Amino acid sequence: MNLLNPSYKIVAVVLLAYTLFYGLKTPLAPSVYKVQSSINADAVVLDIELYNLNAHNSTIDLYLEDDGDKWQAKSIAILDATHVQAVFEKQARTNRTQNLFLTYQSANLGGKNSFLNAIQVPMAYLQNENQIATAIEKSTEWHEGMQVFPFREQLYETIRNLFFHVPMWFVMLFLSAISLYYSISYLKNPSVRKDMIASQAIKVAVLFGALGLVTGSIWARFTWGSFWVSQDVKLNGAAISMLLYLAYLWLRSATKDDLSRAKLSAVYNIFAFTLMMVFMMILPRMLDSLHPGNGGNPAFSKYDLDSSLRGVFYPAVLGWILLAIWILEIRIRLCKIKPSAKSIYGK
Amino acid sequence: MKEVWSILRYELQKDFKQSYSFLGIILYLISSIFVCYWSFQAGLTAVTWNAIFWILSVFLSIQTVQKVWHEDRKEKIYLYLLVQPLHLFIGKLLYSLVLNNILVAINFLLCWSLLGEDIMQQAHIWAFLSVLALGISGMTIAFNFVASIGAQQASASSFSAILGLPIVLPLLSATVQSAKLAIQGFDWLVINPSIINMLALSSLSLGLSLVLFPYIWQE
Repeated sequence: MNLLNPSYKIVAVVLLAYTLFYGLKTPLAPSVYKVQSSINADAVVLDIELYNLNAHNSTIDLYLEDDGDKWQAKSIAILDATHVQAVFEKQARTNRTQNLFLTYQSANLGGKNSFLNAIQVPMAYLQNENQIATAIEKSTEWHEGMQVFPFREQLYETIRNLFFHVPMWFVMLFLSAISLYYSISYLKNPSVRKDMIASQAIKVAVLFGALGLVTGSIWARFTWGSFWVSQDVKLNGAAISMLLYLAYLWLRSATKDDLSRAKLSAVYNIFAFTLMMVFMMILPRMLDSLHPGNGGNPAFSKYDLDSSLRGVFYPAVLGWILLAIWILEIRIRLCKIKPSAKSIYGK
Repeated sequence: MKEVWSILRYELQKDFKQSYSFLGIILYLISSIFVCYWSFQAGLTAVTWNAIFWILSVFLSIQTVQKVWHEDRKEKIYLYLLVQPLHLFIGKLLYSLVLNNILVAINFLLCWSLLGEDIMQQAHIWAFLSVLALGISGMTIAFNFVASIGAQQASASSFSAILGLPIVLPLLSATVQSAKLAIQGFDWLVINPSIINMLALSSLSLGLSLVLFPYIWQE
């Protein structure tokens, strides 16, 4: 690939602009945020908190379903824009898990048209005590004609971090693979250029790895409750990989002789890459990890059946990789002109 | 094979001739264990004992490996000319493995008698000893590779610690984990998965260093 050809830079900018715009602008699917039930002498009352759905502008219909039995809500009261209170008959209470169905016809979402959609909320059983918070495990939505991201418990709006956190690690792996390639080929057939590309690629990889750690930390704070989960194998693997590459950079700066610096750092780079593959790809799949796709957790692709996330995720990955190539190219050019600049300006 | 034997003999002679470095490591061990003995008195739990023991062992093995690689400045040209790189590496590796296992056994005896006699009472001792041997061998392999990188440098003393610790961290965490289980007296069935983990990581670094060492050594 001719790196001076500017067309890939245009593609990178367009893809990243697309990612930023659609990744941040697309709304989450309307859904039910929280349901609280209380049981009176003659009725079951559900307090329903809505998300991304304005009760004033929509027609809302509610029913409970249990093994084919259906109970329509006797009355639905709109408390405010996001709170709805529904009253069901006493017979709706059973000991088994029930599904709450919420269908709505809304004019204010998706812009022009109104759609008839439905949300299914599996609920823990309604018990005898007054006022129990009902656990929502997972809600399933059907949406037609609207571009929305899926509404997931725990993730909520942070689902957009998928376009920023995950590609950072893809870029990190991509750049360290480039560096590995040039390190191996340096050991086979040494040249200054290969050493330069290998080391610069690692510098950019460390930058993206640090960004990946930061975005991941923030995400973990929201979803898992703390900035760093020390038991998570993948987190520790990522931290160790970063330490390995920092040690690589240290090795380069600590070695005075140019030839032995290139040789030793190439060898250390191969070692570091192999260990990184083990820590980040193999161990998390064998041991427990909170990450999707590891330790028995379902991967992300199982969630987004409507593939609305994929439409932004794949362009995001490509865009970030192209941006990294762009940064790498600038760094390499800088390295090339540095010696001549030194000879001209004496510094 | 003959070359490997002669490297082993050379290292052994070196240790007898200049015994100060070997004795220095022993001194380091005894003094740091005494510091722990005084500062902890009797309030040591199994987990803390385990942590102290492994910290001592890690720096012990770093020092040993450094001694093996960095003390033949003058003889380096002969080693370079007379011995094949792979044989040199295997010889030095075997020597440091033996030495480290002996030193760690001493470390264990000291820690056991001074710090943790009642802690070790409920331990699964065979499991602990095998975890000990495996863990220290794996660390020695990784540190050997890193020290051989540092052996090329003039300012080599800090190389093993800085470059080696990130490499050894996962192995170390698996080792500490399984040693803790062994101290708490768990059965082989519980300890085995992390032992397999340790074995895999050690053999990975062994294979990599055998493949890559000739590149480091050739000038």
